[in-house]
Amino acid sequence: MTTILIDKYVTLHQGITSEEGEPIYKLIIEALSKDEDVVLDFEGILFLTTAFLNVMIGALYKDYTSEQLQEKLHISHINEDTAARIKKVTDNAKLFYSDQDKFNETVDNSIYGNL
Amino acid sequence: MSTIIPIIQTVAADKQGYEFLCDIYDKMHDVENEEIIIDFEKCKSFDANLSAVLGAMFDKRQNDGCKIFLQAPQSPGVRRVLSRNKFFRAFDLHTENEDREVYIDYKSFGVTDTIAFKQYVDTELIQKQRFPKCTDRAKAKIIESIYEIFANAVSHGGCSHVYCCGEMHSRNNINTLDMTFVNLGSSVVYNVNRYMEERNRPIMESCMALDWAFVKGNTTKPVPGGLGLDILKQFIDMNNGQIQMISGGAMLEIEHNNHHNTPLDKWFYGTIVTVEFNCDDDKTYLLKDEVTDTRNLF
Repeated sequence: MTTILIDKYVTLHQGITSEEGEPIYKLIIEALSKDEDVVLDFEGILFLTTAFLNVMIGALYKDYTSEQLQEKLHISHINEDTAARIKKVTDNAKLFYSDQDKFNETVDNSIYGNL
Repeated sequence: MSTIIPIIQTVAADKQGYEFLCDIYDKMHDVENEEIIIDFEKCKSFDANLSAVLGAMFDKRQNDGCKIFLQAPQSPGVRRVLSRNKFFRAFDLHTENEDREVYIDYKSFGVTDTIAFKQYVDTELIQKQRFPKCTDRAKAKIIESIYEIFANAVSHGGCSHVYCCGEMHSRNNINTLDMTFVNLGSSVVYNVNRYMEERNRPIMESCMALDWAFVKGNTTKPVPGGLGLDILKQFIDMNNGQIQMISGGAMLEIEHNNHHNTPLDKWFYGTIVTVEFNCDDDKTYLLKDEVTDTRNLF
C-alpha cells in the first residue's frame, strides 16, 4: 500500500497547473505498476483545478480501466469540492479514452450541430 | 533613431480598443534596432484592465532587445489609473497617488511561477477581502475560476508569461471585479486549427474556434481536458457575470450563456481573457452535478 500525501507535492495547499500534477501522476503509475493499492490523501488541500486533476488522475485512464482504478485507488480526507471536481475529471477522461472517435463526434456535434 | 507610437484618445475594452492594441503590436513588431516611445499625450481614457495587454506587448519587445520608453500621460485620469494599478511602476515610471483599493495590481508571472500567482491571488483578493457580500461558496467559486483561467493560459498558450491586473467597480449598483489575463503564446484560433488540421477536419474561422474552446470536453491536447472554460462559463452564468475572450481575429463575449461573436479587423497574436465577477453574490452554489459519494469517484 502506497500513501501519497498530495499536499506534500503542491505549494500553498493548492494545485493549479498540469505541471504540478505530473509528479503525483508518476507516483501513482509507479505504485500501480507494482500492483500496489494507492491511498490519495488530500489532508490540508484547499484547492485543485481541473487542469491539475486531468494530469494527476485523468491521464491514468489511458492505461487503466475505471474498474481497475476503483479497486486500486483509495481516497482519504477529501472535501466535497475536490470530490466533485475529481468526478468531473474522471467522467470526462473515461469518455475521452473509451472511444476517441465517438468522443470527437460528441464534441463536434455540440459546435457544428448534427451535420 | 526612435519610433513614436501614439496612444489614441480613448482605449476601451471593445472592438475598436482591441483593434488599436493589435495595431500597436504590429507597429512595435516592425521596429528593429530603434527605441520605441509610447506616447500617451493624446490619451484621455484608458481602461485599467487593458494595461495587462500593453504590458505583455512591451515585455515581449523588451525581451527581444528593444528599448521602450513611456511618455507619461497628460490626462490626470489616465495617469491615475496606470499609477494606481502599478503599471507605471512595472516599467520604472514612478508617479504618486498609488495604492488605491479599487485596483488589483498589474503583475506578470512566468508560466512556472505558480507560487507567485497563488500569493498574488491571496494578497490581492483574499486578504484584501474583495468580496465581503459573497457567500464563502461564491468566493471559492470566484477563486476557482481565476485559477482555472491561469491554468488554461499557461498550459495552452505556449507562452513564457501570463499578465494580470484587475479593477473593482460598480455596474447597476452591483459591485463587480474585472480580472484580465493576457498571454502572447499561440492564439486559441491557431491551437484549434492546428488540432483540426492534424485530424483532417475543416479549418474554423476565428469566431467559431473561440466557441469551440468553450465546449465541455473540447481540448487540443492529447490528454483529457476541456473542463476549465466550461466550469468558468457555468459559474459566470449563475454569478451574473460576463466573460470576454479575444484571440486571433475574434472577440467572444458571454453573458447568461449567450455567446456574442465579433470578428476583428486585426489579429491578436495571443489570448486575452477578461472576466467580470459579481462581488455581491449571495448564492450558495449547490450544483446539481456535484457529488458527495466519494466511494464512486473513479
